[in-house]
Amino acid sequence: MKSKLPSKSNLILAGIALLLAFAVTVLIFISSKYQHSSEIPAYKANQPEINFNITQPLPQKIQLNQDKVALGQKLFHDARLSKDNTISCASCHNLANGGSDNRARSIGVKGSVGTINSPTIFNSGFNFAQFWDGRAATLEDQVEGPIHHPKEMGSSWQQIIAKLKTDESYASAFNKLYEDGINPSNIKDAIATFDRSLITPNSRFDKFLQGDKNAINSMEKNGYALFQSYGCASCHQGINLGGNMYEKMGLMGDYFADRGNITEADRGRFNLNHAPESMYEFKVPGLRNVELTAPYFHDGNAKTLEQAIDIMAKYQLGRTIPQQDTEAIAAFLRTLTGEYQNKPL
Amino acid sequence: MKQFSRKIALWLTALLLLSWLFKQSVQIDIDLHLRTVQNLEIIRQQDALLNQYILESRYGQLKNYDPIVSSQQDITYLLDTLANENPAYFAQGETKIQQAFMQYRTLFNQKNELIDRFKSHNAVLRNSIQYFPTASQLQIDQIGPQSAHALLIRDLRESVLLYDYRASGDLKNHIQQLLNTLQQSANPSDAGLKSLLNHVDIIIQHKIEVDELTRNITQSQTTAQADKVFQIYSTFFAQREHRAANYKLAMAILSLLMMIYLARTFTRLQMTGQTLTNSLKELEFQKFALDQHSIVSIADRNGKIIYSNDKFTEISQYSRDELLGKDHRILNSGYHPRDFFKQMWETIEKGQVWHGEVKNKRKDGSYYWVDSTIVPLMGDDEKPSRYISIRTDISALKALSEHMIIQRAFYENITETLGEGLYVQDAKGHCVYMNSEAEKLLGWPRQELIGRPMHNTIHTQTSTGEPLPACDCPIMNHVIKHGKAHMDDQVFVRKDGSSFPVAISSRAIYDNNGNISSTVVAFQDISARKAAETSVIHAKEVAERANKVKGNFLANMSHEIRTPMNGIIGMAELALDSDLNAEQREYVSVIKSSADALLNIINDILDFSKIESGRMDIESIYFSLTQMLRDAVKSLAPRAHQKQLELLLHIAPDVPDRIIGDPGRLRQVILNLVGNAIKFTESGEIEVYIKKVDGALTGNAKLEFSVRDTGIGIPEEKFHTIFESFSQADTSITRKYGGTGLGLSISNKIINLMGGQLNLTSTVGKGSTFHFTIDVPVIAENIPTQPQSSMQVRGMSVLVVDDNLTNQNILQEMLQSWGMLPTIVANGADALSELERASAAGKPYSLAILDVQMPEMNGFELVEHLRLKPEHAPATVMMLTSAGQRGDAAKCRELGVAGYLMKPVSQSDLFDAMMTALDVPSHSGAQQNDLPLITRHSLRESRRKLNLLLAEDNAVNQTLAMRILEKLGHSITIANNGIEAIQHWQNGQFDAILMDVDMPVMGGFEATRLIREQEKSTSRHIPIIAMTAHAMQGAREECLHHGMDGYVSKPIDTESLWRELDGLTRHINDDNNAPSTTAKDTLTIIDFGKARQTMDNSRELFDEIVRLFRRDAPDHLQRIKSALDTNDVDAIRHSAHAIKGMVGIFAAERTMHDAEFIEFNAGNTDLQTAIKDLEASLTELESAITHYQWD
Repeated sequence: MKSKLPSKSNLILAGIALLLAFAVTVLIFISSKYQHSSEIPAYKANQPEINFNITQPLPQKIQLNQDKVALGQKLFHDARLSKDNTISCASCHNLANGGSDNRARSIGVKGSVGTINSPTIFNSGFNFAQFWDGRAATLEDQVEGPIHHPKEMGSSWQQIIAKLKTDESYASAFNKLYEDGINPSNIKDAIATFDRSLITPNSRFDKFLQGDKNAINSMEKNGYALFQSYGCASCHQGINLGGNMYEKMGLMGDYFADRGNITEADRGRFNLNHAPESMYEFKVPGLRNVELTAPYFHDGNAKTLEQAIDIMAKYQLGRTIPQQDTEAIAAFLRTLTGEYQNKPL
Repeated sequence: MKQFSRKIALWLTALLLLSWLFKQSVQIDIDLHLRTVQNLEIIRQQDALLNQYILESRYGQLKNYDPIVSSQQDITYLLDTLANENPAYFAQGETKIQQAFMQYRTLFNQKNELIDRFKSHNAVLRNSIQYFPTASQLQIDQIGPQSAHALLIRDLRESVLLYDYRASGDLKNHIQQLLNTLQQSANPSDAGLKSLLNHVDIIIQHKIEVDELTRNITQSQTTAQADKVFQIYSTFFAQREHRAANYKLAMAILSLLMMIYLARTFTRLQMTGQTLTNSLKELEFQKFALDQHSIVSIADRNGKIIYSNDKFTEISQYSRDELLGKDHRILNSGYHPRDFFKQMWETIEKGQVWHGEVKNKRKDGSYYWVDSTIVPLMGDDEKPSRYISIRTDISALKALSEHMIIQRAFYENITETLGEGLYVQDAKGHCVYMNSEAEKLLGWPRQELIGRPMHNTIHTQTSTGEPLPACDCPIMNHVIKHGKAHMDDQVFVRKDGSSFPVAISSRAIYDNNGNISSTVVAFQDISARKAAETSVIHAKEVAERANKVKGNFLANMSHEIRTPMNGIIGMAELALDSDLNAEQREYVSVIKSSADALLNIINDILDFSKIESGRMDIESIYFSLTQMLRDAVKSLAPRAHQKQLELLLHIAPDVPDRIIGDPGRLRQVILNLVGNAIKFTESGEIEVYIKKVDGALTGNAKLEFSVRDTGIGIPEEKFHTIFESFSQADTSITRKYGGTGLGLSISNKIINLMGGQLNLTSTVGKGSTFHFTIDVPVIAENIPTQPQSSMQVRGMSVLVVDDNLTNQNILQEMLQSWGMLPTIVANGADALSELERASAAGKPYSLAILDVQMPEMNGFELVEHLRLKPEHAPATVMMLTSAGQRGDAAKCRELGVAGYLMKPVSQSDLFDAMMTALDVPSHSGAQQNDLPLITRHSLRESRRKLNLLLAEDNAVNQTLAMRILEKLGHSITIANNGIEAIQHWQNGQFDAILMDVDMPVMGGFEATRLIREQEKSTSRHIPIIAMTAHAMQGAREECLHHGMDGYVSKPIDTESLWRELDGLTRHINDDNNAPSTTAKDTLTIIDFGKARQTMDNSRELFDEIVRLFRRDAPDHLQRIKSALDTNDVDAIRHSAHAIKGMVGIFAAERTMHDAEFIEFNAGNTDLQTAIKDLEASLTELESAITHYQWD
């Protein structure tokens, strides 16, 4: 019998090897299980119920991670997101101003003037796309625009993250909410979550829709009727009274020719898909809190509601609306102003 | 090791494979799958919803686009989720499912774009449709309802609305027509109209678009694609599931295999462990056992001790510590050369086992021997790694073997010193050892003989030079049978071929099984001895011759002395028988008695000299004990009666009659003892008593003879001396009683020769008893011839009248043995009264036996009394007398006594007389005087008278013989020598010849020879009795050898002569019936009845006799035949006589007759027929014996 028994050391090595192999097996077993998140997708928070009517009242509140909302709020109001730390999101989307800055063009970093009218931040979660040309599918995507736009915040993620990282409160907040801390995805997520939280329920019109007949007066009711009969409601429909379709600006007349000074921004969706039929096509904006967000249209051409109404009627409907009808409609439109955080805007 | 690491590698691989299989098998995340399925389903549903919403929007039922957006959003989200969660299927890729999914996405995007367009166009269309009626109405109102335009407008309105409801080509054309018409005829500045017409345009266009969009949207392939995706996914999933299941199965199988392998390994491990434990235990045990017995040490490859057991330390006296690490060199005793260890190392380094005996030195310097075995243990590198030494202490063994060597040398020395030749051969007869003397004697050097078969080398011939094969080797045969052998008649052969006689002494050595393992033979060259022997033999022969000469001298002397003695005694007797006056009688008596005495002395001296020269031999012949005793005692009766002594012969009834012995010598002893008794007894009686005692050998009888007297007795202190020669108890006795004093000594010697011892009991003044006991072979063990006719006297009452007590007893015994009823009285008076009583009782006595010599009233007086009272007298009266007186016979006749017998009376005598007496009719009849008186004489006289030829040269003897014979009633013719004898014989008709041996001119032997020769031609055989003074041993044989039939010695003993003649007459009587004329057919072949009776029905005896017969008869027959060729008459006669004798016992009359014929006619040349006859009858006899059934 020539074979020897293995030595002690050999046996130990063998034991270790076997143990490792076993560990590997276990690990593989564990890792092969896919962890799927069972969270509710973000967009669903603002998804309205199926309603066949023209519109429906805004929900009282929506389901959101409040920590994220708080963080997002903080970021929203943080000018360090801009290059020169002067411009925050709130600079152009001022919550005290109905969610916008009441300017035809916003002022960005270094006092640069923007190219298009800032839409309201309020109820932006109900829009089916962001920006006038709908190039951002989600609010998260929208954050990217102003951040990087040289005429808006003119910053970069690198800068922002660097700045934010220095802030102890951001670090802890981010670390609390996100495993991977401060990164673009999480910043966007936080800001977007905040954006979604900016809903303004309890407008007088909503109350009227909810059954309160006296929430709006007869003129406003009349205005609502006219709004429908004239066909405004063909485009300005849904929970946000708009924001869910694209339409050409100047269906019945050449608006831009009549106005003149056609800019790149005027091309609308043509800038995205370069399809002829997309020329001058813009997202139909939502009309809630419209009373607070003058000037109107993408170029801020209409200073007043009445002006806006008339232009719309001419170029979109191909009609001339009597004044009293315009006023009625305007009165109606004013009933669309809601409350933010139970405080009327 | 390699195997082990391979095993490990295998196991690792197996485990990794297992984990990989496992991973593969759990790729199926059921949750995911379910979610995926769900999502796909939701996508399908939402897609369907989209279509539904679009349609509803188109037809105004859905008044807002939020649902559409929601569905779009949901679908988009789910698509992204699917891609994120299940990238294998739904991310970008080349697989079928991925492609299908991408296709769906593409289609969906397309759809979305269509939906976008739809939404915008639909809104416009809706608005225009809604406004158009109003606008047209306005226009109508404006231009007047009745105007043609109004109609057209109305028509237009209807058509458009209709068209909106259902588009058709005709309608469109119609509308187009209307439009054209209106445009042509319309006021260009009419804004309203323009607007109206614009709306119509929009409606028309938009309607088509919207319808198309709707169609495209609703008929989008998305649904189908979604289904396809679902299907493919399901298939994929199923495949995956299946694959996973396979993996699971594979995993399970692998696990199972691994389990089994593990189990097997485990079990094997267990078993190995168990085996190991057992092996270890066994090993421990063996090691322990080994340690108990052996010296064990283990050394490393350099020879340094790494282990030693207790025994090692014990024997070497080194402690374990002192041993460990050391080389075995510390034990080196210096006894072995360097080469020894060098060779050892060479062997074990090669890996071979080494054995050897080593002398080691202890710590204290003493030595010990070990028997050592070194076993190398091979390591992995094919070289020895350890050496195990196992040793046993053989010091004692060595000492023993040394001692044995010394012993061997010692024994070898002994054998060398022996002076005799010594060799040892093994069981096969091969020489294994020889000493130098053997070498020298045999002329063989040791080396050459060792291993060779001894017999065939040195013992190849007999002493006579004939070849001797090994199987016949007397030495070996004897040794094999008896374990040893001594013989001196063998001859060994030297290397050079010469032989020499040897005396050998041989002994076998046995092994444990009792088989002969070797034989030791010591031998001497006895040539010298043989030579000496030869000279001794020669000397012996010379001595014998001298002895013979001496014997002859003695015989001659004896003869010379006897012859004149014979004359003196015989003549004196004759003279006494004739008329002499008192004075002459006295003188002659003295002469006679003197002569008798002288004869006795001479006989004694001759006997004595015979004894001294050792020439006295005891014969062994058949004879009748009773007869011999009777004759002997009777011959002394006169002397006893002279002294008024009762002489009684008392033979016990169980004493056998026919015995083998020497009757002559026995008779001599009896005569001596009785003679002495008579001599030394003044009054009373002498009884000769023979009885049978126990303790005889088979076929023998132990007989005690005693002679009791009431004589003077012998003092005890003289017991020894009387047996000595020439002495008597008292020298005075010689003077008073006479006698040579040799008698007892001679008698004693004779008794000794017979195997007995003569003893004496005596009381001074009371008497003496001489007795001896001898063992004698017997023929018949029964009572001497119980006479058959004893039946006649059975129950017969008989009156015995005798004063002598002993005689009374004797008679009573005898009578009772015949079944008679004896009554004993001691005197006449008692007898008379008894007879009276008996006859009065009606039971008279048939027979009375009366003693003559009685006090008060003697026998005759008693008879006279009886005659006076015949009524009481018994029918028959017999008388016994101690002394025979002349005239007694006449007196008896006178008195009517039927029988008169001389005492001592033998049984047969008495019986015969009695029978004869009783046969005679009762006294009431015939004349008593006419009763023939039965006496001994008459008994004798009833024998025939013979015509005898006496050949005797001596005148005295002639006269003597003549007178005696004439007295006996025979007629005698005298021949002076052999020639005269022959002449007379030839001329005369003689019944027998009494031939003296020593005669001038022609001696008796010569004459007999001639007579026999002449008788050959005839069938006659005349009985010739030799008369010779040669009384030496062998005289009888010599006579017979010369053709004589009988033998009497001189001085002529009347008794013996009468006996011989008696025998002869019977013979002659038979003889005269010429054997040749006897009708042979009447002769019996064998009478078994008689034979058996003779042998007392003893089967043993019968068989023995038969055996002897079978052995000797053919031998004798052969001798006869060969003697016939050589013409050896004596031999023929001798053998024929012998045959006759030996078949006599069978009563084989025919054979006896034939043998007798040859015996008598031995001188005849023509015996062929006779021999043939004899052979035939022998054969017949043999056959009869063979076929005889004993029972």
